[in-house]
Amino acid sequence: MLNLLARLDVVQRKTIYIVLFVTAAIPFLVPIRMPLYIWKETRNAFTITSKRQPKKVVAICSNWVPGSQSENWAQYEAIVAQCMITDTPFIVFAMDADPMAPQFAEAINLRQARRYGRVYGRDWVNLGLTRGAPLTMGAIGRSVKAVFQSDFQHTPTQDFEKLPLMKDIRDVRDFSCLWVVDYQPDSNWVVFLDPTTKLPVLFACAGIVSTGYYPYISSGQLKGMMVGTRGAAEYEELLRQTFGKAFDDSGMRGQKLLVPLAFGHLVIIFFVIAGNVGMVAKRRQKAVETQYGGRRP
Amino acid sequence: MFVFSCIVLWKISVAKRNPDKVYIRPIAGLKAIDEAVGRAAELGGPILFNPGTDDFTNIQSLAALGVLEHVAKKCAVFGIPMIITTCKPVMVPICEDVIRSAFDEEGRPELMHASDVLFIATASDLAALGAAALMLDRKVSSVFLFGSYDYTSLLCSEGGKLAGCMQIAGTADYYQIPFFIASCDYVVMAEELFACASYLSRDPVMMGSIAGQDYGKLILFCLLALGVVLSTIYGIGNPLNGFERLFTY
Amino acid sequence: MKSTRAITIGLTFVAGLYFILDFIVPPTFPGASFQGVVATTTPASMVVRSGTLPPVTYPFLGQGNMRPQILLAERDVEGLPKLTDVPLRQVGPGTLATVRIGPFAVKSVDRAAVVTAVGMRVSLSPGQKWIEGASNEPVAVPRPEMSLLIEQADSRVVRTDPGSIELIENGKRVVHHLGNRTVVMKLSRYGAGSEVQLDEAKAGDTIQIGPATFFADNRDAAAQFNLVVTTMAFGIGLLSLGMVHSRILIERRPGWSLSVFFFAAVILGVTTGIGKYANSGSQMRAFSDFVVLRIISSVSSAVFSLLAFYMAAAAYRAFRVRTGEAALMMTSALIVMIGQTPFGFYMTSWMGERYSALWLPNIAAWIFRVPNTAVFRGLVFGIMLGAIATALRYWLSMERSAS
Repeated sequence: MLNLLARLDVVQRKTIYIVLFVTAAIPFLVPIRMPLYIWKETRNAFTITSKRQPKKVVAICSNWVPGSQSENWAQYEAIVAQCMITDTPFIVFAMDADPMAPQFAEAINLRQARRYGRVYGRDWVNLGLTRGAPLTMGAIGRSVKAVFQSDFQHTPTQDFEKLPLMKDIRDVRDFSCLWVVDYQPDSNWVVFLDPTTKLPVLFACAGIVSTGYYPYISSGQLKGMMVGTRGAAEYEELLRQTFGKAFDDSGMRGQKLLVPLAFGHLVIIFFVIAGNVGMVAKRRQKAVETQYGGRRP
Repeated sequence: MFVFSCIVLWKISVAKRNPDKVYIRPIAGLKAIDEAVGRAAELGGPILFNPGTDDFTNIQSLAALGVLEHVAKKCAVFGIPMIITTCKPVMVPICEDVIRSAFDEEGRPELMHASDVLFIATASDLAALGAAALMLDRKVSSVFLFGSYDYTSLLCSEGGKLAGCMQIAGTADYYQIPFFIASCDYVVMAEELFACASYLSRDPVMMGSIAGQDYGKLILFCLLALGVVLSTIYGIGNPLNGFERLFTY
Repeated sequence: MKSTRAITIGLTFVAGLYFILDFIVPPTFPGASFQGVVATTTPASMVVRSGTLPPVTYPFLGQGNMRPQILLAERDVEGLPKLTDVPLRQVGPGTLATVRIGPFAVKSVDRAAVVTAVGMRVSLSPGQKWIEGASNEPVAVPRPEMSLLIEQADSRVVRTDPGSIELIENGKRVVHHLGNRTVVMKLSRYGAGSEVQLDEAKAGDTIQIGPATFFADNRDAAAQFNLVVTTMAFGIGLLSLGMVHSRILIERRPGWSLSVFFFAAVILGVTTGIGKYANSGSQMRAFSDFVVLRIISSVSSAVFSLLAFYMAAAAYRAFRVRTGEAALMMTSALIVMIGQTPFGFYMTSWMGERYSALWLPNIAAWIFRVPNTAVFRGLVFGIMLGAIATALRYWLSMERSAS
């Protein structure tokens, strides 16, 4: 038995990879639904976004790219779905991101718009990419149209015939809240966009980087946060609880990816524990061998 | 900021007058640089240095360049060629300049021809994979990963582990420190990265700035402790708590 | 080398100038500025006349389609005539200018007026004509579905009025006539100001007005310069790469097949980039979306997914409990990992709401909110102080460098 346990100390890398692959693949083949616990940060973010204010828009800074799509895609889609179901107009832009970021965001916007019958220019505007953080954040806060003189398809933002939504958007006072969807959102948004700190700032980030934003939540600078795939799954659950059948969750990734993620975590935990058990067993084995003069009993 | 700068400048002037009085505790990762360079000399393979995924506008990249200079000088002594990989084109001439000057200073300018400064790709994940491939192809002996890293840190360091290299990493990006600890032999953490250049050069001016930095931390700690005590006595939001009013705007 | 260094220093200075302009230079000259509460405003306007026709007044009210655009006739580098958009302050009485308003999307035509898509009735004044939005060609009869501009071409400016604002300063009403270089700053309750147009200042707002500082107008020019230099750098880089790889191809040097990939990638990248701006539903757009969303997205995800496997292997290899501190770290790591998954809730929710504080997700949340926050704050303090000290050393040239 001791020999068997000692072998856990030297499990091959490819064994770990195969077990992880198979375990993470199971939920894709066998649909499994698990109960969700909704964290306070996600619930706060949902509540703030739900508060519709007349003539104000939700501003979304969508900086994510395919590298982080496993987490950010689901988060972004949940936010857009909420805006579209509740008929809340929103603007989306990218700041110091990959040039493809606006395109990824627009693909999801169009998908959700087809479900809920929303129209570009009236219900949302994609302002494209800009650079120059953190000063540009302050510039956006002072005048949105000065920074974004055209949308991501080069339609002038002053053309209110094509983009009627832009007519009432001047500066940060016309935002109801700011979402930043990125692998690691820039905390300068909290400082530079609205120095008066009245605008609620919400982050949708990867799980691993969320630890660094809890001080901002504790101090009240961040009003809510969606953490990784778990946060996206919780957000979808909140949408389901609030809107019931009106929320079309087909193709949404949050809850679909959460179960494989959970299985993956279990595999890592199993191997970590197994490695420690193996280490202890190996030590015991060495002690026993020493007792028997270097020979195994 | 003004107070902190004054403290740093004061300690620098003190260090200039009495260089022996300034002490920096040993940092394991930096002490291991000699071991890593020695390993490369024994195995005959080059050394790979990655100055992070950001350019010189990031202070961590500047700190990494300080380490690069020291490592380049060590390599020049042993005649070990260097490979530097980066995902920022602007870092290529900067790194070339650093290692060329280091090699010239040690009297080994010919090492520059054997060394490579490679811009692999602007995407940090592709640059990390490229660096990992280089470690295998060119049989790199030791790897130095200093600077600012994003989620691709593990791609770099695990690649080095697979290639059997000795790895020393240093970053102030707190999310990447656990990954480096898991896959590298030595890790220089957080503010130790900024002390690297001072520690390695033993220059009194730079060591004085480290001492000044520590005094700044001490003052911050005292302010924090005072704030905690006063908030406990008066409670948060109490108008009598002048200390809290001082730091509220 | 000296001239290269001088050019580098000059470019760096211009790049830094932009940041200095935005941060340090105030928008209005201190001492020559006035602050008060808005009582009334008179918007800016311009009166122009075409020949002997009656003059037409253009008020500068609001933003967007109804705000007049002033165009002056100039010659470009080849001597061909072109129209350049200028602000109001650059024209004066006697200037020959073309004025345009629009564009308007025509919904219907009603006698001499058109009704736009937003329900506005727009008609022509003396000297004005309709022109087509895309081609700038005159349109005799507007029709629905057209995108039209109103143009009054080659007309003389009779007078301009930058507008005026009546402020209540220390209980007294004072009227300030705006000059060509006056900046209007709307102040918030906390004193932070943002530049607004005169017509955006409403009665009751706290306003600061004053002459613009020289640099405030040139901020955008500095930013544009950076953009031009960056674009030039891209062009030079592409050209250089093209020359290198074409030489490798022509001379059939080792690895020439990779140069073929280079050219194929450039063509693919450029086509994809151009297709990004094509109309939704067009073939170019579909191709661009296919490359970005199906190919690049999938490849990037595959690279990122390597991390999951690497993480598992690294965790197995590195997380061995050899000391008490390691055991504590391992326990908290396990609690946080399980607590973030549905398993954590599943394993402990049977305790009931009364003992919800002992549920794994709640313990994990407490670990994040309390010990983790405290440690992070300390870590960030240390890092920031180190970064400031390092930056100070570079700033004061105290950092020892190789050169």
